[in-house]
Amino acid sequence: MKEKKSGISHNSDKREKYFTLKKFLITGQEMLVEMRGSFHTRRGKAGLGLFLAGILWGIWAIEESDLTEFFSLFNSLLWCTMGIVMFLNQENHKLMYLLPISRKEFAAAQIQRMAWVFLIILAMQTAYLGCMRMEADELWRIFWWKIIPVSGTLSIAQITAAKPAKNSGQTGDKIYQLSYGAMIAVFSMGLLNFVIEADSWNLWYGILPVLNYGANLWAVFYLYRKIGSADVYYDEL
Amino acid sequence: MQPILQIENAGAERGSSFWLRDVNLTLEAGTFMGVIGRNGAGKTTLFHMLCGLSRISQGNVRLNGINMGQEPERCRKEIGTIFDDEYFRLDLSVKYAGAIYGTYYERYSQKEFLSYCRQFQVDPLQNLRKLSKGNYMKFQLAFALAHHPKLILMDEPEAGLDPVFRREWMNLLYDILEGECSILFATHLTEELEQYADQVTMLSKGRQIFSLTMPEIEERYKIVRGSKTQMDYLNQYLVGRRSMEHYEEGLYIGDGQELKPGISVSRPALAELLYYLDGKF
Repeated sequence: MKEKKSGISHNSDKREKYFTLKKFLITGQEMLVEMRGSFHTRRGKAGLGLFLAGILWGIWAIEESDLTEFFSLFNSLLWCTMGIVMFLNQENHKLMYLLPISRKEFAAAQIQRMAWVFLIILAMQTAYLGCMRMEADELWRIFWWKIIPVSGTLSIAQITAAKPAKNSGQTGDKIYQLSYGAMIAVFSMGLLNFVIEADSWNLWYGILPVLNYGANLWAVFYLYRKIGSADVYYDEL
Repeated sequence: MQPILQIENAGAERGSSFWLRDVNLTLEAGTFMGVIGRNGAGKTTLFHMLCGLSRISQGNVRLNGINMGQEPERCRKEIGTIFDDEYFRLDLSVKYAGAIYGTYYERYSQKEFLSYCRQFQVDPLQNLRKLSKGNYMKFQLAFALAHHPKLILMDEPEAGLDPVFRREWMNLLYDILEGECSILFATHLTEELEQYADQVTMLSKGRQIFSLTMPEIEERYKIVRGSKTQMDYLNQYLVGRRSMEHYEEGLYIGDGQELKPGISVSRPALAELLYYLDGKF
C-alpha cells in the first residue's frame, strides 16, 4: 500500500472527537490562564485598554442615547472585540507544530476559542440590551435578529486573527489561504445587519439576519476546513 | 528490543533543493547520541524533521516503532524538545505553562513537573520571559521529562551558556539516561560529547558522513603524524593532510596495517574529524 507523503493527521484507526464539552471547558480554562498571562505584556495591556474603552463607550451610548444610536453600540462592541482578540490571541504557533496535536484538533480549538469569544460578546450585548428600557417584544426581536448573529460575526475575528507563526503576520494567509473575500463578506453582512433597523417581525426585516446567520456559519465551516486541512510545515512558512 | 529511533534514507527538501538526504541512523534506548557538523550542515533540519517542523520528503523515520510520516501526532507524544529559541508563550508562568501544555500529553504529570522544577532550582511562579537562559533550558528539560518521552531532542541548547553551567547541564543529562530515555544532542561542543556521548553522527552539507559509536570511531579513524615521506606513502589512506612546522598530519582511514613504526598514531578528537571530513564525501 502506498504511504501518504504528507505528515499531517492520518490517525485513521480511531476518530477522535474534537468538539466535546470537556474540551470546550479546557479551552476556556486555557484562555483564562492565557488572558491572565497576557496582561503582563504590552499587547495584553493595550488589549485590556481597548476592551475597557469599549465597555465605557457602551455605557455612555446607553446613558446618552437610545437604541437608535446603533453606531455608538457597534463602536463599543468593535473596540471590545479588538481588545479581546488582542489579549487572547497570543498563541505561539511554532509550539502547535511541536505539540502532539493534529491540524484538525488545532482548528477545532480555534473554533472553541471563537465560541468563548462569542459568549463574552453575547453577554455584553445582552447586558447593554437589558439596560435599555424596551418592551419585551422589541427586546426579543433585537436579541434574535441582531445580537446573536452580530456576536457571531465579531467572534469570527478570533479565528481570522490566528497566525501560524510568531511575529509572522504576512504568513497568516499562507497557511490557511484565508480568503479576504470571505472575510469582507461576513463582516459587511454583520455590519449591515447591525445598523439596519428592524422595526417589526415582518419577514422583510428578517432577510438580513438570516443572511447574517448563514454567512457566519459558512465562514466558520470555511475557516475550520482551511485550518484543519492546511498541509504546511513550519519550515515551509 | 526495538530501537527508539530508526532513520532510513530520510531526507528533507525545499522546492527543488535538498536540505538533507540519505540519513541513516539507529538510536537504542538509553543512548546519548551527539550530532556534529558545521553551521549549515543540516543538524537543525534533522531535528526539525524529527519533531515535525520540516516535511520528511524521502525515506522512513520510525520512533519507537511508529512511522513518523503516517502518525506524526503519536510520534510527537514520544518526543521532548529542548531548543535554543523560545517557542513557549513567554507571558505564562512556569507553573501555568506546564499546566496548559501538559494537557496535550497523555503521560504528563504536573506534580512531577513541579518536582523537576524544584530539583533544577527553577521558580514555578516566575514568568518564562524573566527566566535566565540557563533556567529556561532547565524549564524545557523539566517539561520534557514530566511527559516521559522516549526521545529528547536538543538543538544546541548550551549555546551562549557559561562553562560551569554547561558541565552541570551535561551531568544532568547523563543522570536522565539512567531511565529508558534516549537523547539526540546537536552541539558544537565536541569536547563535552567526547566525554558523555555513546554515539556520534556527523553531517556535512546535508549529508551524513558517519554515525558510529565512540569505539567504532576510534577504530576507524586515526590521526597520523610523520615526515612528508611517510605521509606520501600513506597518502591513499588519508582523507586530508596538513603541513605543520616539523611534521605533517593527516586523518587515516583503515585498519592500521599500513602504519609503519615511526609514524605517530593517536585517537582523533571530534573537532579534528570535523576539520578533515567536512565536505570530503
